[in-house]
Amino acid sequence: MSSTDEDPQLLSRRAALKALAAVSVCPLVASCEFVEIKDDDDEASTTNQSSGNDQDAGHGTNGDTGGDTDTVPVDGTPFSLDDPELEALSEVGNQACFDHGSQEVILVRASDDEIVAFEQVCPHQGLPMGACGNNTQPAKWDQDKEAIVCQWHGSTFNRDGDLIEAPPTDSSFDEPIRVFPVQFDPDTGEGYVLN
Amino acid sequence: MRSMRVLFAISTLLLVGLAWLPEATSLPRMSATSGAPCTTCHFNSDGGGLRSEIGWGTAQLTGAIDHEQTGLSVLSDRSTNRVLDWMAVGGDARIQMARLGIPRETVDDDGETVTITPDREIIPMQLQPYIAIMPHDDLTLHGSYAAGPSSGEWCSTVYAGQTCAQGHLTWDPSPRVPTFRAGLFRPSIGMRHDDHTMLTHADASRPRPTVIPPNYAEVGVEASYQPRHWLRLDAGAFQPDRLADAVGNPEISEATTAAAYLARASYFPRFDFGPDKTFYGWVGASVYGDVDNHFRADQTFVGMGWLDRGSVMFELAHLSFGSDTERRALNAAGILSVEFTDWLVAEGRLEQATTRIRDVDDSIQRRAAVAGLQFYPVPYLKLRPEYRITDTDDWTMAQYAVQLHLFY
Ligand code: FES
Repeated sequence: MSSTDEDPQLLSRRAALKALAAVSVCPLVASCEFVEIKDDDDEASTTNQSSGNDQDAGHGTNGDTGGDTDTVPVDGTPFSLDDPELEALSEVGNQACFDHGSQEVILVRASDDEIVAFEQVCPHQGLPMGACGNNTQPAKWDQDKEAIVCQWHGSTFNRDGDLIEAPPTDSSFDEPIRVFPVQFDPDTGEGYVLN
Repeated sequence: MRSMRVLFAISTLLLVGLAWLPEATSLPRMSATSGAPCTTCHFNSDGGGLRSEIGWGTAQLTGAIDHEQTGLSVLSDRSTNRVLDWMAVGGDARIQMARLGIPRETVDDDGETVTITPDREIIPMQLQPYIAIMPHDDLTLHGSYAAGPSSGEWCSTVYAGQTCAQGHLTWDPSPRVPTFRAGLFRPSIGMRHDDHTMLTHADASRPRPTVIPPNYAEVGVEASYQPRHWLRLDAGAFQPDRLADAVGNPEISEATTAAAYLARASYFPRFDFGPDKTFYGWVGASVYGDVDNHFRADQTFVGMGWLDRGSVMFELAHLSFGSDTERRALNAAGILSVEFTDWLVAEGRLEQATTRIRDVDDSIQRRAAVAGLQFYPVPYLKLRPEYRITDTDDWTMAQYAVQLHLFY
């Protein structure tokens, strides 16, 4: 469903009508539960921006550095620190939100040579972690622990994505976060987030 | 015959209840439909928490089946919740079945975009005993402890700004002078709803929008004065440590002079149109914020209740965040409740939260439509089936939830 370009009044009218219909009928119909994800105006095409050449350049491990970024890796999304939205990554410890195909990821400048890419949705309760959109509680990068801390309940994930601290409110939670391999050339400030 | 009717009513309601939806809600309905202040039924002058003898006694009589019919008459043999002349006890326990979290899209191994709906979970959400000690007629010491039943920890707070232990002393010498509260307690902000998901205290720009969480409390003092039955004034001063956490702005509590203030005025008009036609109104406004203006909540509310029939309420809130107002939220809620009997109440509400961020053109919106029942099958037990549609700029989700609430 496309929505971001629609009149918000229409949306609320639509939601109200749905609510009315649902409230009248739903006690009898279990299928009244539904989910709709609305499209982003600026959504990138899904994954696989492959040029089909040079397998060597692709599939690096997380934090891969120094690859030949003139070569387009398979399944990678290129980025450059010249991009104003990524210029925060010029400093170690900073982070930025980045569209990797249809997914948002959090890029963290973990060291002079390395950029780490985390899935931006926290596996704990599915809440957004990144400084994406208008998230007012973005995750924080702990440079000493080399770990990212979700600000919603405190889940802490190391640079490999492993959970190193569960939320104090939910000690039974034990899931890793997805980490995307990154190929980054600190000299040019260019790189790729890989699948 | 009566038991057949009761059985039929329960089966029907359970069927309806099982099909109904998500997170549960509650309203200051009791006060609005009876015209009685919260303190008639609760120790807390702002409602909620430990019930007074009248509140406890009313609860004892509220249920589709009374205790004698269930063979549990031992539970109704007591005439008070006082365990000693000077001590009363009580508690709330709630279990909720709902889909928690937000839906999202991800890309699977085949490169396909898939929608992930949050799992339906059953969570123990509240386990909170209360105690009130009355060393003197004018003094009450009130304490409560919200354990973390879902985490297994004794103290576990799900939202920033929550507290586990709360306690305050109330001095209430006579109706002619103000009542004072001092200690760690919730300031009397706006209307007090017992559903923390209400959008009036929300910031739509947060994926989990609640700003003022359940069991929010600050150390402070508050005076409440009700010089006439139709007028109540509240004023308080607090140390805003938990507000800083709840809002996510440490500056709120950093300064040595950091403080929060509260002011609320409520007018309770009464309209008498003859037998069985008395309506109780509730109009008020409150302001709560920190003295350095990092956060401020202005709220107005208006409601009307008809004894044993129902109530309708509206609340409007304007929240501002940041010392130079980086973010503003304008939130509204309309709530309708209809009482079929004292043990069955239907509720519906529509809510809208809009956040504007400075220098950002588009506002961020969130809406909710909720319909539910409050059903008391037996005294001290409430079932709250609910259907909820939540609509944000990024997704829409409709779900059922049921809450089981045991209270004493
Ligand atoms: S959503 Fe991240 S820790 Fe809970």
